[in-house]
Amino acid sequence: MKLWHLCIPCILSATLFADAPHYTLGYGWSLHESLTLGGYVSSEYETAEHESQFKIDDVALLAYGSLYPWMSYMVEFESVNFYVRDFENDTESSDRAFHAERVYIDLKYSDYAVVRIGKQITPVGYWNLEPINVLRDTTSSPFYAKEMFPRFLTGIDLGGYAFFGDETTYHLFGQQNRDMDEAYINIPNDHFFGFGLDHALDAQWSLGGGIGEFETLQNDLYRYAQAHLRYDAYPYKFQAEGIVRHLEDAPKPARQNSWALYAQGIYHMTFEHALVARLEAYEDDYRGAEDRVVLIGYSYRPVFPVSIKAEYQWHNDYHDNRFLTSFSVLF
Amino acid sequence: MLRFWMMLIALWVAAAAEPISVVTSAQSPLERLSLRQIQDLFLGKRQYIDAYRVVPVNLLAENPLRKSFEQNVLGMNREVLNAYWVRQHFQGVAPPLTQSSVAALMKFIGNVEGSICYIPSSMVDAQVKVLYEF
Repeated sequence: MKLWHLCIPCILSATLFADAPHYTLGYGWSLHESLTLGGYVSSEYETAEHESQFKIDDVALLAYGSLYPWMSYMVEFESVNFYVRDFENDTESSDRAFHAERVYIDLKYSDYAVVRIGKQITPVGYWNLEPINVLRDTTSSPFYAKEMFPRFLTGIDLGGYAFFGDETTYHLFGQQNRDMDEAYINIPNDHFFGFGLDHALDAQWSLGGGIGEFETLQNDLYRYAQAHLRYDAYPYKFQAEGIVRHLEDAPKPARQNSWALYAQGIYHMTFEHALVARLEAYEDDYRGAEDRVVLIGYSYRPVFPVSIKAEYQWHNDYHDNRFLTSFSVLF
Repeated sequence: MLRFWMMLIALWVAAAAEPISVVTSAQSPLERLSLRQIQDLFLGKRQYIDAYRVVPVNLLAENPLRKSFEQNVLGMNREVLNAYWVRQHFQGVAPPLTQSSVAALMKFIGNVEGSICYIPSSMVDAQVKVLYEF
């Protein structure tokens, strides 16, 4: 889909509803209660022993709003690898096709039962809910967030405050079909069900966990259990997440378990400048992959919606050590 | 010029020190709210109290009463709060509506069912119902 195809409904809507259009960087273009427009873009440079690459990684447009007091929507289209320049192989490529990243409606009659229908981010843990470069504190994502469970769901999520207390929220979700748009799906699947709980201990501490199962298009059935913990009190922030995954009917003699975890700490020297450290580890027995990673990074945000980051990663195998830097904007 | 700035600081200090009341229309079925409920409503985390839809309304960003509310009630300074709303923009959640003055807020909650706002406690009158006082 071409970019201008996406713009047509937005411009038409803007013309119809723009009684008091208002734009703020990072808050989008607020045209009406029923329409806010925004998007994000990020560029990234990565270099390792035999890799050197620059890419404009994400170019995305999003629109959301309330259609009725009880109904709202979100639409997001994204182009990944919009432009890639590989310095090692001296090649250039570009994929400017936009694909559906999120398309859903929320039905809300109560804070205790909100129904979200459509393609959405899978409500698991912390990292997966804010997966884009500009909102992260590092250019890279841990293995935990990339390969252990489907990052998106095309189905129904029932969520909200738990009935036994407003400090606890829940999600119960399910999908029994293929994804709406599989272009950027990390694990294409046609069966995905899960349940999760989050609990705020106080204003700073929160924790939670969940369980679920999914079946890939190759009919591999996985079951997982996940847990997360966060401390957030400016200028400090710490979060850790872990997941254990079991592959049913894995071919013998392969073991059937995989696990991944990370712990990340951030210290803000000022609101604009922050130091980041992350430890991560994973083992995927089925694919024979494992690693331990230490990451040190620096984050600079002249204003919050503009992020400039740099990091260095030390891996088990020093050939995989790498440097990454990025520039991203949420508009 | 110095006098202007001193007056401005004095006004800001007075506004910051004055008790704040979270209020709604006197006809509203809402009763007392908890601190957590007020925080969640103004942060867009919840829209209902029981089955009753609530519409939080803010003053403009530069208003000293709003700054005092954010600092003392939401427990966030402006930078942290700005970062919070940028993150919410990605989630498809917009910040509360704004009004330009306390008088406009009072008029708004009189006209829009379910709306709540914060005003100096000294301005509470028979037209409004206090849901919480800080």
